[in-house]
Amino acid sequence: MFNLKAAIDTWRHQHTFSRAFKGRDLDELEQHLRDQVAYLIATGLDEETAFRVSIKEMGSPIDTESEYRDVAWMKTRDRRELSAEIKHMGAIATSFFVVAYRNLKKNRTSSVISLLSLSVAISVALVTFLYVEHVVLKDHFHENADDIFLVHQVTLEEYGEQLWGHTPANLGPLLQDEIVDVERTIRLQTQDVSVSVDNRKFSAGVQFADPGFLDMFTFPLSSGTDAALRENGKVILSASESRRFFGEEDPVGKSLTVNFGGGTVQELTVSGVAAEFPSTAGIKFDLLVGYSLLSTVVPDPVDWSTFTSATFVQVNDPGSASDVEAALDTFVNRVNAADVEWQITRFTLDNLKSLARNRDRVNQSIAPHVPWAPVIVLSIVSLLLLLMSCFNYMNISIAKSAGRLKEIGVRKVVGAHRKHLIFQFLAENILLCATAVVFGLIITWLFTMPQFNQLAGSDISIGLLNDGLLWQFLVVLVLGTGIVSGAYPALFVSAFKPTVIFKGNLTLNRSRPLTKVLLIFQFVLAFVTMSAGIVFTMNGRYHESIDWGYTLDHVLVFRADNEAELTIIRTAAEQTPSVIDMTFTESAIGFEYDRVDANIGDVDLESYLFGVSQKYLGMLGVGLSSGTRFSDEDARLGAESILVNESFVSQAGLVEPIGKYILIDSTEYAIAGVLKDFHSEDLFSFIEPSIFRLSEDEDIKFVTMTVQAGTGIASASSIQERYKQAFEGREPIYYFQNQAFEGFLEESKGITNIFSFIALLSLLISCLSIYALSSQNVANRMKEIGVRKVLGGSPASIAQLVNRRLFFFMTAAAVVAGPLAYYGLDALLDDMYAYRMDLNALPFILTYLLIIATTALTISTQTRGIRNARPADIMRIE
Amino acid sequence: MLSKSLLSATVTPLILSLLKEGPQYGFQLLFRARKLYHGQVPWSNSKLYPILHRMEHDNWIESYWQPSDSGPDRKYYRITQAGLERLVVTQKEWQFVNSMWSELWGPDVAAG
Repeated sequence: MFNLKAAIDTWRHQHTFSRAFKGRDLDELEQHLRDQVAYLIATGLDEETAFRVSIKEMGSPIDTESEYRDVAWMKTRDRRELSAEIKHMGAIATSFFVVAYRNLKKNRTSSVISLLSLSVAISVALVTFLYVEHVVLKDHFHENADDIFLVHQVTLEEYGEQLWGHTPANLGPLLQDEIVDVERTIRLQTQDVSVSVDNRKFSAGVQFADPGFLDMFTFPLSSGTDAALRENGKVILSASESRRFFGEEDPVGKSLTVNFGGGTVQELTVSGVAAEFPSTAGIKFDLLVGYSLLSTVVPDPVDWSTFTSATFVQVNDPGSASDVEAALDTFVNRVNAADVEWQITRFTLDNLKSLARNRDRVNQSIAPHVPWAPVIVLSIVSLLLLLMSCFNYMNISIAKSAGRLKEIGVRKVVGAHRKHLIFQFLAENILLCATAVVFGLIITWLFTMPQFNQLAGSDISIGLLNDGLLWQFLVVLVLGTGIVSGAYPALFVSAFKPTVIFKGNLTLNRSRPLTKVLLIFQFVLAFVTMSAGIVFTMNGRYHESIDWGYTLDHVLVFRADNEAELTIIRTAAEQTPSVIDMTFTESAIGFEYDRVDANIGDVDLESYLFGVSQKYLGMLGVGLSSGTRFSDEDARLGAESILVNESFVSQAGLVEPIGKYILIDSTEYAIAGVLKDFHSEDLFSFIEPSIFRLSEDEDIKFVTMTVQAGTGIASASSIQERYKQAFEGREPIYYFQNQAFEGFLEESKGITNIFSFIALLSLLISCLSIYALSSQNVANRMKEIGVRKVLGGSPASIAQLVNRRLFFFMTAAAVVAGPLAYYGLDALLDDMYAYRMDLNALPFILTYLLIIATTALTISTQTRGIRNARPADIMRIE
Repeated sequence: MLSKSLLSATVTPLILSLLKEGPQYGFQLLFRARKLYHGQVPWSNSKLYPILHRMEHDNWIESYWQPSDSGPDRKYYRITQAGLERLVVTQKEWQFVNSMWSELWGPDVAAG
């Protein structure tokens, strides 16, 4: 029999515990229900039907609750009510944390491992982020950075618009006078010079700059004044050049001699020293002098047809840059009128902060280059590592969910909606990721960053206090990894039906395709990163053992800047018994040579020009491909014969090069022979076309000598001593020939080291995830294992049986990843090096074997757990 | 038939207009509204009260409790001075809309 009062009481009870209803909300709602029922009964319905219709019109308790929840906060006026509300939310949050913590604790091994692998991946991501920030965000530290723009000229060529970094020399001052929004303009002209201080010679770069340079750019002086920018005869030094020239003492007031080339030598007094530049400085200087000094060095007039290296504009407000750009149009005609050969279409402005990023699109710009290859490669690799860890976590948490079925069932029965469960799982995950980020930071600070700095020869630090971008990145990392790794498990787990769970009918279907895909993907990533490590290590070896095309060992090169030095070095070498032979040249392969435009018929070919001696090439063992070397007659007469290398022949398109004539600086030379190609530079770029001619006696600058094996350092110091005796203790400049490639080999080694490091980390992450997966496999199949043990299975065989799937996935992954890694790495090597090793299958087979071996080893650790598991305990659970 | 968005735009002015006639409780308001809308009500029963509570929070209406014949007390709502002012503003807005349609479609079409 239907009881209306009882029905209404039950209905009200359903809402009693909801926090959405405040004060006497439920009284009002109940009265409404009663009115509605009474009205319906009055229209002729029976009590039960009237009640059911009224309830239906009222809407479901969930909907009602959510409507009331929207206005609940508004009604929480009372302080007591507010604090109760906050307490309640605190209790919910605490309960979430407690459950999360207990769950992490319950699966201690796999939790620790997930955390560790995620922390390692996060650490790599952090290092990458800091590195990218370091090399891409150049020049952001200047106070006026947002207001400073570099003027570019734009020309229209057959292949499209071209941007140029240099600008007419007289544009700067006019801009400041004629355009309202321009606050200040600075012209910069760069030039290579040689500096002598107390008879010691250095090569350095000089920067001519207009007087406001130090007001526009934030380069504080550590001592002295900026007088050098206004007065000729003075110079400002960078901190590093100051140390190089004068050691630790304060150089202000001291003088140095600068050879600007073309016979211009000036004595400059140091007026100031700049503080150490931040490592993110892209625009910087060695020696800084006033722009007015330029006219004493270069006879060219300052007009529309002479160009200066850069013109910087500082505007009143960054928004007015486009107005300035438009106003610059009025100058286009003046540039075009000055030189018919140089016609521009317009000027553009590029902000100081983006100069480095856009550098590659601009010709002849003074902006710094961004090393895009390592930036891109590192970003991709760290993203892959992060994904690997996330997928690992996904797999583990799906595997783990088997142990949480009852919890999920109970939560659902007591009224949790699916969204509550999703929220709970995601929150758990974000908590884990936040912990991983904290650990990642610690790992980065203690280990990864110092290691990276050492490998890459960089000096990057973690600026947690002043790097806003880093904080944003950390938040993105926590949320990103938390959501990526947690979303699928959360959706998957929250979809279970309580009735199915409690009936015990739910089997976690092992053939879920997504799990398989994730697992394979994870192994693919491991395979790619590890094979990259192996390939770069092998390529590094290849570079170390490459045939440079000439002898690098036991060759010593001394530099002589004048006749007196030459005589002393020569005599010293003759008196040193370990010196076998010596020769005198203008150039030294690997250290110094000229560039010339060579003209053959109607072909102009930019080439390297080496001034050598008859003996030099033979002494260094450079091979002859065809024709003859320099003859005695050539040497005696100074005849106009030259040798060229194979690259010259092929690029000039010569079929029979011997006897052909080449025009260099209006002198005609005949090709006497073709030399085999050799590397005079690093292996990043291709061998340049090169020409060799006999040096004139007055141009001799280098003494190259071969010494007996093992006496290199002894011979050098013997000559060094005699030199110092002759020149009042001054040090000579000398090199060992194999130093020519030291820088390159070091860089190549740095690249190899970084890739090996990443490969190692990726191996570590793979190991950890394989361990976690296999231990979860074992945990999930304990009953089966118990039965197998009772029936006499050995722990090793059981471990293998349980994890057989892993080996299958690994092989599948290798099949997918092999070609991917092969073509990817082949393209990467091609992009990075002009000369690199030929790829074969070996590194990939090695990777596969390494992964399989590691997996087998990792899984074998499970046998202990299986051996110790007592079947009686396992079976008793049921 | 009115579209959902237009219906919900009429809710506040409707409640204010009904309460201008005198204090009423929730079920009465719903009952009147249902007649006015020819059966089509712009809110479910459970939605009405949060709307009333929000208007109360905005001080357009106020409430008081009175004992009822059966069950708990009954909550009555009445319009406040601010609510009356709001209603004047709303009336002007709707009149403007109405005159706009009249001008565009002619008074006959606009008046239906």
